[in-house]
Amino acid sequence: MISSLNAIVPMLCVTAAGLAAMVAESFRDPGERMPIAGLGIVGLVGAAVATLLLWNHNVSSFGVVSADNFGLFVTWILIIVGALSIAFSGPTVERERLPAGEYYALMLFAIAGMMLMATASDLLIIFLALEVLSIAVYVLTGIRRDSAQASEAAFKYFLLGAFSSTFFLYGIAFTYGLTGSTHLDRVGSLIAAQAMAPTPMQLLAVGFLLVGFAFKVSAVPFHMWTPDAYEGAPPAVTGFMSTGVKAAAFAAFARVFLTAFEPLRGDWGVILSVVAGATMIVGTVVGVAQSNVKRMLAYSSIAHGGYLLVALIAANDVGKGAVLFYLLTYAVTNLGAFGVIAVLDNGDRANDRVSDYAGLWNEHPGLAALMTIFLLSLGGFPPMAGFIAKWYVFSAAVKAGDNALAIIGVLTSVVSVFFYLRIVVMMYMTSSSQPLRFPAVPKIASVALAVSAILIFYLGILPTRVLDWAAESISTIF
Amino acid sequence: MTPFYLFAAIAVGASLLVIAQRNPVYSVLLLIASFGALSGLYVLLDAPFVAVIQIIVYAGAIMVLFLFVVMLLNAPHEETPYDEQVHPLMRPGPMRLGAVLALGLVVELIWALEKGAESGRFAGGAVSNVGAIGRLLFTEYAFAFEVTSILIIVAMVGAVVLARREGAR
Repeated sequence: MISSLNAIVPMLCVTAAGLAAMVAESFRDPGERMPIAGLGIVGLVGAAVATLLLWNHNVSSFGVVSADNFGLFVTWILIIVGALSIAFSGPTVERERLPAGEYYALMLFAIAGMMLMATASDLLIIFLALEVLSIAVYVLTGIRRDSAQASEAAFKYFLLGAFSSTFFLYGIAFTYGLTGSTHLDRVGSLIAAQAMAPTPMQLLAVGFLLVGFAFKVSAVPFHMWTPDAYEGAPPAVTGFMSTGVKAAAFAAFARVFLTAFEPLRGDWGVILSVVAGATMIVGTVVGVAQSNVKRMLAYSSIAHGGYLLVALIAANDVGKGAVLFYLLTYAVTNLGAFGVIAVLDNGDRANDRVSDYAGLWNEHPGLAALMTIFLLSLGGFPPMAGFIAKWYVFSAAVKAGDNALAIIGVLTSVVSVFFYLRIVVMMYMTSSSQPLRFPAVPKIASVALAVSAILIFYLGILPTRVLDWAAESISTIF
Repeated sequence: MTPFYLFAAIAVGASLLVIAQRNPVYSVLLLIASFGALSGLYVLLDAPFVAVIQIIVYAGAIMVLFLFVVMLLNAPHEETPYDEQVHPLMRPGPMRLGAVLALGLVVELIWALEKGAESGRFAGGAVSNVGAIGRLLFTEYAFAFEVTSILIIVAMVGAVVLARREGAR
């Protein structure tokens, strides 16, 4: 009985840390400082150890959670995302006087939900995990209650998110109606056994599930909430949700569509190609016009969602590992960029307009250099990780015969360089008019930023080992 | 037969009162009474699970949502002379819409009763067996059940964080 719990140990660790954070907050005297963020790190370390021990064992719990290497690889990404987000959250929580216990508890519960979503092999559990992480993230988005912008962002995100959840539920209901099961293995074998020509009901089920996932990964045309939510949330939370939610949603997306609905690939592949192309184009083109860095990065993250979709469509023997490798590099890079924004936020001023970055090089040379690394990696410059990830995705697309997608991808990457470089130019070549606007950088956050930068260079220069892991991991599901 | 007439009378009476109120909050509260009586009818029909769901989902969750929306929209207090003279239901707009809806419902009911003989019967009482549902919930769906508890904790913490009064710490 106990051994059947093995697969859920990583999320149990994180959930326990979340509960501990809540208990710690309730015993905290007003004004007392408590290392609540430390509790979260302890939980994440526990989860990391558990994930290492589970690697290659392919255990499953309750028949609905399978800790195969694919799920564990994503769990690793989520642990990195969680640790970096907690490190970046410190200054925000203190400055904005956010309730620390609840903030970290919600973040940890969201991570647990993401881990569950990445490892769940049953549509019902995927839905529950999706809701756990979504509700936690809605609240985190609006946690700065005195800010009207944050409330608006949270409300929009919540309403649209709830609406998209119903699509997802309908997809599950139709799938259950077709196959009599919500378990992915059974759904897959039953759909494969049914007639070669897909029935309207099958297409309906696939379509609803597609909409549900597309919303969570903010693919065009379901991306409307993204800029507002990303702009209104505190920067540390934005970094967290733009990477963690995407990683978890893409993991479940890949698992559902590459295993259970693999027989219908000819049908959803076409739709997904159109969505991917539109996502890359809209994300990039609209991103060019933004003057707010957070909004700009929101559109950039939409475009990156498009590249990830290309990786998903092109998931053949060559490009199998592309999804996971791209998720990892994107998570580290994007989180780093939002980390810089988070430490530059000084309470009175968000410092998140492109013009606010003027002269950052003179004031904080280290931060300016790190931001440059993150932005260039997002743009896909060698020797940063972003280059290898994009190159891998596009070559997979070419090998799979999706030349059009590869061309769109390369072109939009070139255009996106424009808006990444705009900030770089601002930082180095424009002098600032008002000196000393930026707060001092806390130690933990600067360590986390340095770690992200090192990871980016590691993944960019010596990618082979991680690439092999990624390809190996994804081969456990299909 | 007596309990049936009791519940039926409450359901019909409460429903009539729902549409006769001037204050929408009273209407919502009376609707809860009507749902309570309906769930009594379900018990008499040997459908205990549906009865409980009726209470939990309709009388509990959905009516709270109704009440929330009514209060959120701050429904106008109907106190002008026009309001005093003309009951809300007697005004042109609501009357026409209500008549159409009621007509639709009557047609639907007649259709359902006519078809009832061939399609309305469910196979056996097992569908609504609370014991069987409970057993399934704690065996096959035990993990989903536990995940739901985490979901509820998250929702609770979120509600408290967002609704807490400033300075109450």
